[in-house]
Amino acid sequence: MAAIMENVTFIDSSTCAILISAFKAMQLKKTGRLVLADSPVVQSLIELTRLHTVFEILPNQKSGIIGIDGRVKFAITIIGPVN
Amino acid sequence: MSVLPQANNGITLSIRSEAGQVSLLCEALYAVCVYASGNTECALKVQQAVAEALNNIIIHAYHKQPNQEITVCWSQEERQLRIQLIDTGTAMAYLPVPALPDFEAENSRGWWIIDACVDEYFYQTIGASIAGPVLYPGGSPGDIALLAAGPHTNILTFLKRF
Repeated sequence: MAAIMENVTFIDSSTCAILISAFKAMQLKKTGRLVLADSPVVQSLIELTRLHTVFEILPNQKSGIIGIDGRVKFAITIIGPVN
Repeated sequence: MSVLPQANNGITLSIRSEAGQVSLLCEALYAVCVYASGNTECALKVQQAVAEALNNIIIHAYHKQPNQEITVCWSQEERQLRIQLIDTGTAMAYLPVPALPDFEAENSRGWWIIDACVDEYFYQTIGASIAGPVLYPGGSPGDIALLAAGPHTNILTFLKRF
């Protein structure tokens, strides 16, 4: 599942709560989950709250995700549960 | 005489205590900060700190009651931005130590974000005729019981250099 966060210009810590809640739900179901973002606003808050240690941030070129406008996007992959 | 701060050469924005209005104010503030500082990262940090503070005011000062006024005074002092968030809700007796909670905690990241985004911040409650102590993060609680019992104004001030 993917949440596309294109053109995000404003987020706050409630976004962190949603991402963590999603992560915990994923852990319970033992399924993977992918969250996408191409906004520096999103990336800034993720790094500020150190959630990038859990939510892996990848340039979209690496993960094959490039916008139709050619801009590099970022993929935030929520790492699956470690068994 | 008003004891409220006056924004000299600044801008005053006002919203009601509704979550949906926070993003509007923050986006406007971001634009003002970019214009003043020429620095988008600085503006983004201010925006993030103010968003967290506004949410705190709505939830903790106004207890999610709508239609309460929140005023934001923005001003520039050479290479420093001063942002004052003003409410008349429940006053805080201290500013908490900013700490990042465990990953699994879904909330309680607000003060951490504020602390990381601005250079200085402090808080003061002002009554009809007297002002309470200026509170700093992690400092001792202030004796504001008498102030908080009567009509009062709370001012959270952010300073951001660029």
